[in-house]
Amino acid sequence: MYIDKSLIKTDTRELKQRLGGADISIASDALKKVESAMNPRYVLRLTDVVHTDEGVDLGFGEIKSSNLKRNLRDCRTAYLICITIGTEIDGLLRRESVMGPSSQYLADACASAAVETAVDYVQKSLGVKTMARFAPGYGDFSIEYQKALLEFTGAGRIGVSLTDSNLMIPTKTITCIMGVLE
Amino acid sequence: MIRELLKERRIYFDGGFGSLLQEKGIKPGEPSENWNITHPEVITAIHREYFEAGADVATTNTFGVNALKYSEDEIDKILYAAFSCARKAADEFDGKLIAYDLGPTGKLIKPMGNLDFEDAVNAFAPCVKAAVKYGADLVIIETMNDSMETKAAVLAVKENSDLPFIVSNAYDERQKLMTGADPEAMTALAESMGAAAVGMNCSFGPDKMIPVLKRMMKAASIPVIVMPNAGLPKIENGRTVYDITPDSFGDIMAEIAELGAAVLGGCCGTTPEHIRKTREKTEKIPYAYPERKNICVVSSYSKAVSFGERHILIGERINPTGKKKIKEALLNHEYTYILQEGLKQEEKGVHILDVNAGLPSIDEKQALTELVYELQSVTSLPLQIDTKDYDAMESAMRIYNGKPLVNSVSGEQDSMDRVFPLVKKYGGAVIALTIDDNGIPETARGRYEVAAKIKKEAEKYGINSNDIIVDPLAMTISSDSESALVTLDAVRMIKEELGLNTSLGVSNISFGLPQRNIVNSTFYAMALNTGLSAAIMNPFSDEMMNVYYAFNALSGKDRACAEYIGYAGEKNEAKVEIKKDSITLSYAIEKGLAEDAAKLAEIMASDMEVMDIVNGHIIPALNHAGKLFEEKTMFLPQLIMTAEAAGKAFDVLRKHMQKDTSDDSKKIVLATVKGDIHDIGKNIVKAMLESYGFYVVDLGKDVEPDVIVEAAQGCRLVGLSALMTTTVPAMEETIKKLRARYSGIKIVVGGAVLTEEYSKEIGADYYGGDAMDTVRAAQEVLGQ
Repeated sequence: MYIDKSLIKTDTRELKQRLGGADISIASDALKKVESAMNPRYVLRLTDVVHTDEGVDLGFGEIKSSNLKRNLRDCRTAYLICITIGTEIDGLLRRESVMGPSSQYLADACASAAVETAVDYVQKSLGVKTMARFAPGYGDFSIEYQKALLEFTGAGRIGVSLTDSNLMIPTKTITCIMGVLE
Repeated sequence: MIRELLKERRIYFDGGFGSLLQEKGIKPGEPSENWNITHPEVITAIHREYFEAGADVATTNTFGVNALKYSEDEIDKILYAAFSCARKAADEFDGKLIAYDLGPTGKLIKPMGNLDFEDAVNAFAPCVKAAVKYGADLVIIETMNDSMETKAAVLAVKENSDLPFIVSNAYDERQKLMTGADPEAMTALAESMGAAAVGMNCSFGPDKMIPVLKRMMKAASIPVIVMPNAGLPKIENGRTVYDITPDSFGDIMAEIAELGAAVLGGCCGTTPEHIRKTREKTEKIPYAYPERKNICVVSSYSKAVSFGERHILIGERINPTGKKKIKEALLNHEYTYILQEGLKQEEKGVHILDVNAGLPSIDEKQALTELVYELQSVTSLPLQIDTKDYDAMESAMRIYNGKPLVNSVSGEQDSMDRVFPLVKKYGGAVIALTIDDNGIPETARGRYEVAAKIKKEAEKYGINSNDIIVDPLAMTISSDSESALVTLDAVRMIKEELGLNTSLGVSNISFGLPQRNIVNSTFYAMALNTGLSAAIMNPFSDEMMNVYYAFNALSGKDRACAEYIGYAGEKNEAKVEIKKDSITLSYAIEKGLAEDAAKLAEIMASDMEVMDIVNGHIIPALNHAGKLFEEKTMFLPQLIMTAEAAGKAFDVLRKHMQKDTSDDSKKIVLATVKGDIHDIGKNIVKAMLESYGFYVVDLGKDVEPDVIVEAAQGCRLVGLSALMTTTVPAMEETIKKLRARYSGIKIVVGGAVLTEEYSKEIGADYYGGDAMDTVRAAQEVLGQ
C-alpha cells in the first residue's frame, strides 16, 4: 500500500526529541529534503493471536517473549505492519553524510521522525483501538524474529529486505505488532 | 524474429499466471515454477489458452528463477520443464514465439541494498544460458523496480546469448521505479543497451499506466510494451480478485494502442479473456513502428538529461590535474572530499559531473570505478566518465547506474576500435574529439571531416549518431590567434551540416594568457551564440556562470528571465553577508559558523602563533560549548556544528603548522564494527575529536576486526561504535584481538545499545555515553 507523501506531516514532538531537545527550526532545511524524498509504503496483515506457554504465535511459529506476551495479553487479533519511507531517503542520508556530521545528524533525525509519523498515520487509519506498538528488539522479543515477520507480512512487495546482521533495508523501515483491543 | 515482427505489426504477449494457478490449487507460498515439473499439463494448458486467445508470445513460467534461489542444475531442470510446457502448446499453432521470463531477485543492489552488482549478473547468467539451450526466441526482463538490477539482467542476457530482449519495469504512483528512476531514464538505459522494446508492467491497471506511456512514447525510438494488472487487488471471500473486467481492460488497451504502444499483454490478475478482448479491440487500430526521436540523452539512476534544447553544463572540478586536495583524496582512497566537490557543483547548477581519476601513481581503473560507484550513490546527476585508459573506461561504464556520457573517443582508428564496442555493450553517449591519426586538423573543415568520419564509423556498430557529441577542441589563442575562430566555425559546421551536438573544454582557449577568466567567459559567450550544446567548465567561476545565465535569458530560453533573476538575487545576498559586523573566532565557533571560522583562522594565522590561536581561542570556545551542552542549554545539533566550525578552523591552521601527522601515538582510530552500518555517532565523535586537535583515522562502518587491529598499529586509543545487540559480539571480538596484539592500548566504546557496565563487561576502558565523553577519554589517554 502506498501513502501519498504529502499526508505524512512529520510530528514536531518526535523531531524535537530526536534533536536532543533542540529547537526544530535548526532542522527545517533537512526536513524539507526528507519530506521531498519520502516514498511511504506499507504492508499490513491481520492475524490471530494464539497464546503459548512462553509467548505467542502470530501465524509464523511460536515467539518466545514474555514482554510480547504481556503486551498482547488482552488481544485475540493483532495487526502486523511493515512500513518504509523508501530507498531515496537512504540516498539522501548518504548525501548528507558527505556534507558533514551535522548535516547527517539533522537529516537522520528528520527521517527517523518521519517514519515514526508514518506508523502513527497507519495506526490511526486502522480505526481500531490498539495496544502500544511492539517490535522485534523490544525487551525480550528477539530481533532474530525479524526475518519471519517480514516474510509473513510480505514486506518484499514494498522492497524491504534484511541484511545478515538483521538490519532492514531501506534503513528507515519499521516493523510492528499492534494488538487489537476489542 | 521479434524485431522483424515489430517492424510490421503490434505484438500480443500473454497474461498473468499466478491467479490462474491459485484457481488450480497452488498453495500460498509455493513457487509457481515448481508446477512446470509437478503439473506440466496445467502449465501447458494455460499457455495454450493464451495462444487461443490471441497471444503471439508465451512467457515461460520462470519469473522467480535465479541463481540466488536455485543451483545451476535446478535452474536447468526447471527451464527444461518450463520450455517443454510452452513448446508443447506453441507447436499446436503457427508462428508462436516463446519468451524467457526473467524476473527480479527481490534484493537491492549495493549501495541501496546488500547485493553485489556482479552477483546479480551471475544470478541471471545461468538462466539465460539455459534459456538459449532450450530454444527461447527472446528474453523479457520484467517487473524490475530498480535500474541497476535491470542493467545486471541486460548484461546477463547480452553476455550469454544473442537473443533479442525486452525491458519492462514496474512503475509506481509517482511514475518512477521504487529506487527512483523515471521513464525517461529507463528508456535511455534500455534503448542504449540495445533492447528490442521498453516499457512497463505490473503495479496497477491499464488506466494508471497511460501517463507513463505518454512519457515513454515521447522519449523512445524503440517500440513500447504495456502489460498492466487487471486493476487493483481486493480480498473477496478470502480470495484475491482484481477489479477490471476483460471488456473494460480491452477498452483501455485500445486507448493505449491508439497512443502508440507496440506490445500489449497482461500481468497480475489478467486471464486469457483479458488478452482475447485486448486483441479484439486493438487489431484494427493502425500500427506504426515508432519514429526515431532526434534526442541525445544520458541518464543517472533516476533522471535523464538531454542535449540540444538547453545548454548543458558539465562540472569539471573532479580531476586531479592541478588539484592537490583531489590528488591526496585519490591517493588515500578517502573520497569524502571529492564527493563534496561533486555535490557543491550540483548546488551550483551543473547538469552533469565529469569524473576523472587520472593520476600516474594510482590504479586508475580501481580509482575511477570506486569514484563512479561512490558518486552515483549520492547524486542523481549523470556522470561523464573521463579517462584515456580503456580498462578504466570499461570498468566504470560497467558499474555505472544509467546511460553514461563517455569522454572520449577520437578519430584515431585505435580509439574508435576500443571505445565503440564499449558504448555498444554498456550503452552511452560519447564525446568525440576531432583528432585523427594525422593529428589535429588546422581548419574548421578539417575538424568537420574528422567528425564525419567518427559518425560513419559509429554507424558500423549500430551506434546512433544522436549519441555522438563532437568536441572540435578549443586550442589556446596564445599560440595561434585564429584558433578560437576555427573552433567556433567547426561548431557551426558540425551542428548545421552533420546535425550533431557539440561540447568544448572552454578554458583551454586561454592557456598561457593572464586573467584567463576574462578570455574564457567571452569565448564561452561566443560559443554559446554559435550553438554549443555543452561545456566542460568550472561552475565556481562567477564569470562563467554570469555568461551562462545571461545567455539563457538573452536567447529566450529563460521564461520571464526568472532563472536569471534568481541567480542575480543570490549574488546580491552574498555581497550583503560580507558586510556583516566583524565577529570573533570564538563567536564563529560557538555559533557553528564554519565558513566564518575558517576565514577568521586564516586571518589570525598571519600574525599569531598557531598554538596561541588553538589554546587561546579554539579550545576555550569548545570547552564553553561543551559546558553549555552539559547544562542542557545547548543541544547536540548545535554542539556538532561547533565541532565542525572548530574543525574547519583547524584545517586552515594545519597548513601553518609543522607537519606532525606522522606521530602515530597521537592518532585515534575509529570504526563502526562489523555488521553495523550506523555511523552518525561515530562521525560526531570524529568531528568532536578533530575539533580538539586530535588526529583521527576513520575506518568507516562494517569494519572487520582484523582491519581495525592492523590500523591500530602504534596508536594508543581506539574508539568502537555499535548500535545493535547483534553487532556487539563483533565489538567484543575486536576488543579481544586488540588486547591480544597491543598490551597498552586503550579502548573507548559507544552506541545506543551499550551502558557503562556492559562496556566494562566486554573489556572496554571507557564508555562514550555522550559526545563529550570520548573527548575526555582522549584527553586523558593522549594528553591535550
